[in-house]
Amino acid sequence: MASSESTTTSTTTKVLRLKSSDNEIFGVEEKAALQSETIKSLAEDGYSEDVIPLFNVEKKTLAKIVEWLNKHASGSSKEELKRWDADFVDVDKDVLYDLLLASNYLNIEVLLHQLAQKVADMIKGKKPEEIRQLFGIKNDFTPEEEAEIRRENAWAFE
Amino acid sequence: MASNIIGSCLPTDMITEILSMLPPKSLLRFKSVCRNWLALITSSHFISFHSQFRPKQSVFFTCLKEGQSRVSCCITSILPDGTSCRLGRDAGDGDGDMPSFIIHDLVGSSNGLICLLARSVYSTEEDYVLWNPATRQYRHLPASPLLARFSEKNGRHAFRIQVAGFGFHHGINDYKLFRIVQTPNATHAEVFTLSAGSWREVDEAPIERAGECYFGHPIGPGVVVKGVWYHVGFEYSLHREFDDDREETHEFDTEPKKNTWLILSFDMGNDTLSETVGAGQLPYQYFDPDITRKLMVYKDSLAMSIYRKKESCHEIWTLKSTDETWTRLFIIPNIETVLGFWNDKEIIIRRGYNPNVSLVLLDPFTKRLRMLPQNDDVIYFRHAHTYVESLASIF
Repeated sequence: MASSESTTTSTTTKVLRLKSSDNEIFGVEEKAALQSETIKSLAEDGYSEDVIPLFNVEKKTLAKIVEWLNKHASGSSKEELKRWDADFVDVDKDVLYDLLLASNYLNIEVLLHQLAQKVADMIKGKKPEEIRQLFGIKNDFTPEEEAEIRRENAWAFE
Repeated sequence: MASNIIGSCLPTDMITEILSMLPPKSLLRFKSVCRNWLALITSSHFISFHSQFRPKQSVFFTCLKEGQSRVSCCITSILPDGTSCRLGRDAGDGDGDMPSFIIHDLVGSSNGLICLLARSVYSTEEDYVLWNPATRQYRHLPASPLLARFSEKNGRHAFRIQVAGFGFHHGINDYKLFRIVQTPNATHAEVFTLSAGSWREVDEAPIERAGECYFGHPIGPGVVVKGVWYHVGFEYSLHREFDDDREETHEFDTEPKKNTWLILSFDMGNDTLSETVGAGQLPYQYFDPDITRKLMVYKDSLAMSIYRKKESCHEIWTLKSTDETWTRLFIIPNIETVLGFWNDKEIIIRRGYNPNVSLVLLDPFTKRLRMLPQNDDVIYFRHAHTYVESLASIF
């Protein structure tokens, strides 16, 4: 999806320039960009005239984030946003992780919540072994400890 | 931004956010993922954070028809989407998780735990049971020293539990069960504290007064609002006796002034028993068998429904805690039984009698009525209590 054309009327819309960690620059209308608390405080710190460097976000992720920011500042109806968001978070797990980390870094609460909900839905029915694999977690229990915890909650494994 | 890495991918605060959206069953399973997850899922901070996001359910003591002639008592729940289920028995899970006792009543539901009055299937002893339906843990409360003192030979007791209330107090982050016990010569109050795992007698001025109160039908159950338990009682000045059947006869004085009613309260935070002021502002001061009073909770405030049988009409009042004034919210005509509030919006109404019992929700402002899906096996629903799933431990 292309980033939204700026529909400038008589008043000029300020555009902030965001720079990804791999040096790609994205122009985003201020209203859309300020949904990110991190960008907001950087802008307040005087970066707004200049390029705002986002050292922790790569361009492929930033492009997605910008797409989200624009859509959520476009005045779409609630129902439309809901549908759009469902499609937006319907991505593979690597993209999902990048988006999660980026929205956490950029501090976009609404997006973070949507992504967290997506991950929660994804892992809800999984087994502990699958969770470890998915999150890259090492099992640090002794076999006895693990067996004991499982025994206490046996019904949850049915 | 906190970023202790759990595993290798996501920071702790994000893991916390994701896990807080999961149902208790998934979390119980994920306790065995790794030590960090176990510590997180069992931390008291996470437990209270997680329960904030669980939907508010209404739970009822329910009698169900089982087969041709058997009746079983259980706790049923209605979820915000209107679907109902039997607690402790998830669809498809089969049974076997409900412990071997017979439920007599639901004493209270607070912050994820439910207190039941139960009887073991193996004996006739009555027993208070704490139950967490979300983790399927349950615990029989120990006998109190007070009751042990008055427990007697031949299975007969020289005490009677007049009234009991169960609740959670956020300030002390603890659950308590409070009860008023009548023995032949005195009235006692005692409290069980979950963290201590033991009973303690409470010695407070209004206890004697509570001893002169009647708490039964037609008075509804007690409720807990912000850690304070409330119950309606009628003072009566009649001589009572403990007869051999453990039954008391209640005859109310015909001289009306003697049978005024009051609201007793017990603060679970500091164990103080008192009388709620302002009850005198409510109509119908004296005992009348045609007037039913039921305490309820509405938007975190104490509320009361007063039912006038002759007019078949309910008045709903709420207490403003800031200046202790009661205000009448609305009058609902032609409704027989109000069970409580639903999500602070609608009123839960029980309609009909066995075998055609159903529940209906009424929006008192728009007067819109909606039927809840009917379960043909239900014979009876008692009062509505609010229940929210929690991982809270009962040990």
